[in-house]
Amino acid sequence: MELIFSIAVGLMAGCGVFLMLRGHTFSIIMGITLMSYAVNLFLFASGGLALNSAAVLGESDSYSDPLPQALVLTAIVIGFAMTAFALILAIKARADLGSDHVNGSETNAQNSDQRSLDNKVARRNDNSNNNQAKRTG
Amino acid sequence: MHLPILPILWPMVFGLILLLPMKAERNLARYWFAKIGVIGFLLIAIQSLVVTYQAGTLVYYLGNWPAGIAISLKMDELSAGFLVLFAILAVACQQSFLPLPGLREKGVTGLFGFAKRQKADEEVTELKGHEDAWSPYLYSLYFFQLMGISGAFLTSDIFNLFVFFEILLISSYALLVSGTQRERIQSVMHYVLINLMGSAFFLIGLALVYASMGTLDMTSLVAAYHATDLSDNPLGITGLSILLLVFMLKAGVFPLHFWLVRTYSNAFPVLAALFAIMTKIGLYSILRVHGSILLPSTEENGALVSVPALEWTLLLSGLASITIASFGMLASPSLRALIAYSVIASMGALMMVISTMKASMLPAVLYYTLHTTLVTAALFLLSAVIVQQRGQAQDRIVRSRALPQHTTLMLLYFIMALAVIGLPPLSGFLAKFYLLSSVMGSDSMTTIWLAVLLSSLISLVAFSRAGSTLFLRHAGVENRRDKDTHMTLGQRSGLSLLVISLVGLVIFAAPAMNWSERASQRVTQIASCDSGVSCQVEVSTHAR
Repeated sequence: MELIFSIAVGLMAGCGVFLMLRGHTFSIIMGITLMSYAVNLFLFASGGLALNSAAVLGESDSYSDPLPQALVLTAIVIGFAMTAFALILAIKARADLGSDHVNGSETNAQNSDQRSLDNKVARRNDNSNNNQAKRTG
Repeated sequence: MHLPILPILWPMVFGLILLLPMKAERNLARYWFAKIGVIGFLLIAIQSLVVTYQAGTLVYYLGNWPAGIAISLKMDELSAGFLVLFAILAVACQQSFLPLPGLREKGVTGLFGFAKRQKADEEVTELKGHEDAWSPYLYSLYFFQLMGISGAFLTSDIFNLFVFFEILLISSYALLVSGTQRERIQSVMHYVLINLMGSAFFLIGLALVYASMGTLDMTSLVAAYHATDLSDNPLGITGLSILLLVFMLKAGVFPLHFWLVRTYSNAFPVLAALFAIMTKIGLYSILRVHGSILLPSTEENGALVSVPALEWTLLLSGLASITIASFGMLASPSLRALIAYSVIASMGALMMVISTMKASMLPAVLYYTLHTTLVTAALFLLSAVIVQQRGQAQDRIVRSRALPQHTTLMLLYFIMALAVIGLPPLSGFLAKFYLLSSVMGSDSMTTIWLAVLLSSLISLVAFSRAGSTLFLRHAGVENRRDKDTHMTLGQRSGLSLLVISLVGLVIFAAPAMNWSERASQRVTQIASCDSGVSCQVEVSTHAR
């Protein structure tokens, strides 16, 4: 059981990390969600894994540690709220910036100087085109 | 005696009441209500410091559950002192909430209150289209922020610390995202995402600590760590290391500092002043959790638990932060970026000093923290005024037209720059001197002295460059006496509160150092607290 459990946690954490390293907010939020599943399972396992044992006294012969279960419950609620907030923020950022890349836009990544240079070149081309149009017109 | 929970409940009640929907005409009432709230918070903080000085540590068991089962809050000199520091910031920021730079022409004269009472009615009508930029609910977010931060200072349970971190984070997200600037939402996105990852790692570290030690209460955790031999407890060490990583993220230390500069320099400057305490929460948690476990209680008996890897991590990341921050200071395009980099430099210096792992460095660390928090907040408040008065140029370090209140601002900037660089006679000099003399004789003394002194030199260059450009190199003779942008009464009182506290830190240096010595004893002697309420919780053996 421990092996299956740890493989599940590791797989989800691995996929989560992979997605978190992407550049778009949607994949990052998916990654964070997967990561929080993995973390919650991990937190649950911190009390030890046991079969057929209740967390409530008098329900069964052997008992499991109730504290991690309480912790997981709280962590799930908090994680849910945080993910919802991040999702709304991502939607707002997508609307305001016109791209769901974390840096605002795909090309904005590093060099805004390059972009302004491109703009200048484009403007110059526009002007020369206009001039040509005037001349031909 | 319910004093230990009062700093959490008080802002919570105010936040909840301010959450009630109210007519827009009542905004002035809201404003005064919020003012009462923060001033009451300051009074509570001062009262708790006084009580801890008289009665020692107060331990409060939530729900009156027996010790060992209950989640406990602990109020001692350390947490009460940080509460007072934080409450001073909270009052100063609340006093000087400012107009958003882009919204002035639309009639907004104050985010948290109207500067001119008679204009309030027209402003409310003009605000109708800008609800998302100016929300009255920011008041209640502000109070939830206070609640989260004071909870993080008071709690004595690691999971509870996580919960309070989340409370302060979600209110800080919402506070930061208010406003409409493009750059702001982008930097908030980075801040939110990195902190979500941080929370996930916090849970991992916490689970590892619980799995290996069987408790999450800080007091019993210290006893548990000291009772076991850490060399055959890899899980416990890993848990501690992951927690250290999370706190370093909060503290903004290399390589986890990348969120800090963008967030601080794009945030609404007054809020950035409040967030000056945020990096110190990371530091406080490191002292509370790691300091009490790893630091020896007296000078003679060496470290009870020695983890060289953690010490090296602290030293190297502190060194890297101070280096990067020094280059960043020289390259900063705006005053706020410069201040943000000086925050990173101060955190780097603190981490390097902590890495010596001697109990003797703690008082200096605490005194330096007081100084750096106050001066950072004061500089951010000043940059808010500068942004307001320079119009288009904001606080970018470029030539622009002269500031309307040129002389006053220059004088204030001069005082604060002296303090932040560390030149006498202000608290910066005293704090740096104290910090450097506390590491005398340790192995990494040369590195620390060299790094701190060089970065002071660089900050001298950077702050003088910024100041001379901002105040002395103004274009032409045009000096439009723009009455509208003059500092409001609230801004003046907020700034003077912080400057007076900074000067007070020098004049009353003896009481402040006395506090830092008492507080540092609370870090190292956590297990033997003197209120008598069963502080020696026996280590619950964990069923495996």
